[in-house]
Amino acid sequence: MKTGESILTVDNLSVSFRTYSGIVKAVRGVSFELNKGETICIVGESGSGKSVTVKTIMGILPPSAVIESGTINYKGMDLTKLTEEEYARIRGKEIGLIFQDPLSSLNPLMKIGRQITEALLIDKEMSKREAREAAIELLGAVGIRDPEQRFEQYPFQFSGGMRQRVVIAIALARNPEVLICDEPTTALDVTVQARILNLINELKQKRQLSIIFITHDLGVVAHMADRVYVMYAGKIVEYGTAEDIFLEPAHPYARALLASVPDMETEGRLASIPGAPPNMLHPPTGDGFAPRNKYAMQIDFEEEPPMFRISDTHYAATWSLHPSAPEIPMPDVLRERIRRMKEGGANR
Amino acid sequence: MTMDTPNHIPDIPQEKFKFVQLDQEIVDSAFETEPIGYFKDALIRLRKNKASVVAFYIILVISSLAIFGQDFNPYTFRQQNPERTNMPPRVPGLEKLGIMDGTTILRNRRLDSVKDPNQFPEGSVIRVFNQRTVRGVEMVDVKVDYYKLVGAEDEYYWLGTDYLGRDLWTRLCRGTRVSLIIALVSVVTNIFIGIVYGAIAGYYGGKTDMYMMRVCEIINAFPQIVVVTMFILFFGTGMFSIIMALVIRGWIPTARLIRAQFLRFKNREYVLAARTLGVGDLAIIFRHILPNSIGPIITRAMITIPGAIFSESFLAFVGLGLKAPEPSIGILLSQGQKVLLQHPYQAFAPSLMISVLMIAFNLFANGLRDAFDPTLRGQE
Amino acid sequence: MCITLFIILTIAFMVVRLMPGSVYDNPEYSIEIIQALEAKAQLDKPWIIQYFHFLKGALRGDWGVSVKIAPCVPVFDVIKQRIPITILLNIISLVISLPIGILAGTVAAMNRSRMPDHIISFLVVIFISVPSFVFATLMQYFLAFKAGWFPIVYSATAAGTAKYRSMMLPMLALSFGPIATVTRYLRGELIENLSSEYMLLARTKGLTKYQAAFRHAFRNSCVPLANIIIPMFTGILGGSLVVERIFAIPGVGGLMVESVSTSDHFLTVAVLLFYSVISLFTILLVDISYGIIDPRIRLGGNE
Repeated sequence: MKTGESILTVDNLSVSFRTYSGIVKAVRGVSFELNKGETICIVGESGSGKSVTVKTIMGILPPSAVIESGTINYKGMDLTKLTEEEYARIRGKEIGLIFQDPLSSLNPLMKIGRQITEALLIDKEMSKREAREAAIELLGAVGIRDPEQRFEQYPFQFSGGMRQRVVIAIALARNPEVLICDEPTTALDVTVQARILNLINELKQKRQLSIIFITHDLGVVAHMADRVYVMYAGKIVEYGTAEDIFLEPAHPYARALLASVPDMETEGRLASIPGAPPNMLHPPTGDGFAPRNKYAMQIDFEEEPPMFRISDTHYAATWSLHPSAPEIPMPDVLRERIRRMKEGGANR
Repeated sequence: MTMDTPNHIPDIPQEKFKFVQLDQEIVDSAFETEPIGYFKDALIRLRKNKASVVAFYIILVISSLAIFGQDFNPYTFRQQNPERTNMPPRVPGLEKLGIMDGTTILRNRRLDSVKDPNQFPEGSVIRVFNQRTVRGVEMVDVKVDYYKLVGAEDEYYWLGTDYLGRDLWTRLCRGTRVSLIIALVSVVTNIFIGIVYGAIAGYYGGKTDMYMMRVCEIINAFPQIVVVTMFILFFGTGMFSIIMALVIRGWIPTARLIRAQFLRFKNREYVLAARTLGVGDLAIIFRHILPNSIGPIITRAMITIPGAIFSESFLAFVGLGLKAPEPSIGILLSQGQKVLLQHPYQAFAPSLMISVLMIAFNLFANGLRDAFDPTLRGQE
Repeated sequence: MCITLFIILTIAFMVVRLMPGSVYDNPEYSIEIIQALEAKAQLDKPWIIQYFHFLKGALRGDWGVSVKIAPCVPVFDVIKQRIPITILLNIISLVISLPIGILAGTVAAMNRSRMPDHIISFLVVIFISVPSFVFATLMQYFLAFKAGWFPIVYSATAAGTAKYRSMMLPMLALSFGPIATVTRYLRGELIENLSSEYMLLARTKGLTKYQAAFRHAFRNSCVPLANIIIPMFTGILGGSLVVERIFAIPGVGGLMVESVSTSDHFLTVAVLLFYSVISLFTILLVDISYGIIDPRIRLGGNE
């Protein structure tokens, strides 16, 4: 694992939404850090607070959202305290964002080229002609053929994958150091997905990007991540290096999540996680996953587990790591798979 | 590394670490809230919208006025009284407050005539002002109690009378009734034709749809004014031809709406399922698809009503309204407008009525639209 | 479009032809005179010949002569005098209501669910609901008669500013509705666009909230305005029929009312045709401009 210097640190972040039916606690005390040049993945199911977390980092929360507590430290600045104008200088210039749905994230009535040059011209360091050239170069860099011609076209003339490339080009236009990808491949075909992921990895190498990657797809995690944060019900429940998480998942949710991914050996019914995620209008006490966990203990319903240290890089918030806790068996599927992976790793 | 890394392991009693649901089967929890039907949901939303509720009550009040209002006083809408023409409004109770007290200002009267008790009986003159001399004749403006002036101290015309001495309150109530009937009948007819036409076009689709929609386009290309005017020129004035004139183009938006609904729903799984079970076309249309469109249809009807009221008044203004003596809001308005500067009250009452009616219907329709809009359902 | 015009022509013909009684119905005319007049207008021939006669005349711009309002003057000439003032009134109303409506709609959308929005939305309901002739009536009484700020009726003879001052009230009366329509439409569009994904993308580029709103949401919201301009314009035209009469403006609208009430049918038909042509022209114009504005239509996209 890389132990580079930290570039972005989120500490104890809580975000709530005021709705008609009450206050929804979307993010509850999330902490993580992003080191220079690494890719971290935040994994979790829909509604676990992943997207809200990155929207908070970008300062694009809807007006109904409130940051209850916490800090976001970027290069010595606390992003939660910035004014709108200061934020405008961070966005795009320091931190870029790629959205989930490339179909709706481009302005349908504006030429592709102008949407890119618009970003380039914000700093007022370029002439229009230079911006045009830079934009065409960017389009080439994200793998769009005939960038000159494409420059003059509208989004509806692009396929989904192409549009996502354009969105990436826009996100990278002003050379940000951090790139946040919010489920960038979810809306795309599987074959296109792989190409986009490769493109992101390639760009990361070339531009020394640090990437926060949001996804619910563990296959994508395996492809991208240096370190993984598993999020459930607005909290980080486990984090560690990709190996830590894939080979030694500790939190029952992480295990269930991994067990539910089918692989070549999967036979019969696909495993699923029973029950439903908690209603964030009334956040659960104790371990949020307990009601869905077969091996839930009394304490899981009563007290919130602290982060237990498993190794220097691997932490998990589950009472099952408490010395007094009984041994909890790994699901069979998972144990089998981990065994195979370890063997495979040894053979490599 | 991160801040909440614990350095100590909390002390927890051993018995807390028992498995508590090892034997239970974990199932997806049942949906917690009580299921709320489509209409109940809409009703709840509608009640929350204060403006709509107020509008609803206003519509109720106006409707009951339209039905019963003309029986509140002894006059009828067509009874003429040449001795009581252009009486200003006078309402018992309110007259003591100085409004609607039956007074009016008569301009440019000869001073000597004002002093003549034969022309201006005792007590009828309230104030004489603006005295001046025009070509050697003393002229004044006088504020008079008009009811005393014409010897009708005991009579009350709540909204005054028109140039033929007809009671305007009675006429306004009757006119509102007529306007509302025209609006309702035309809207119901519109909706009916629209549903049938739209359902056929949307359900059968393909060429049928294409031709039917082309017909709509052609009809729609005629400006509303032109169609309505030609129609009435052709068939003559009268309630029926006004209604028909409003229908001739009015059904098209409903037809489009229904067609869109049908196109959206006809390929849904549940409809396909019904069809594979051998359910007939008519049953599919009426039992499976149409109920989905009821919300938008009701909203559409509500939005169309003020439009119909407007069109009727418009026709009355152009001179294509109902035949005398039948009043409508538009006819009263256009008659009042002619004597606006002399007897403004004759224009104000119908102006107020049509404005309040239109505002109430629009607000109510807005509320309905928000209440029925499925894209809003469940959110907030 | 041409088909529509043709159909309108046909219907117009039938209206004249099948109208009960004769157009020349006049107690002062003897039967012989009426018959002579009808023969001159070929009204004694079978209807099919009349129809072709009518079409031929229509194509040459011969719409018949006015009978009652301006006897023996070709209706085309009668209308021609009246067109400029009507067009001026309608176009000005449209032109002033667009920017005001756009401004109000933007203010409402940007302050959504706050005081300015509530006030504007409230006014919108009133302005959309109350018919233009009611506004005209009330303004004529209070602003012109009572307060004396404006002339009570239009004065064609007045020169310069006085003339325009006398046009102020009718213009205002005609503009309230369209202003409210534009405001409501733009507010809705803007709110939808402001919460769209591409607005977020625009902001993540580093544009400020207002830059992003103006360059992306605002621009995209104005495009579909073309949709409502047609109904709006025909609405103004319809309103101007009555408003012209209220303010005694010698325009086409007033002419229509007069011709209807005096059953001067040739004239009525010609006026109706005038309105049809204007509406069709507007539709055409909007269709074309829509294609220019929206690249998806211009470039034949299928979204």
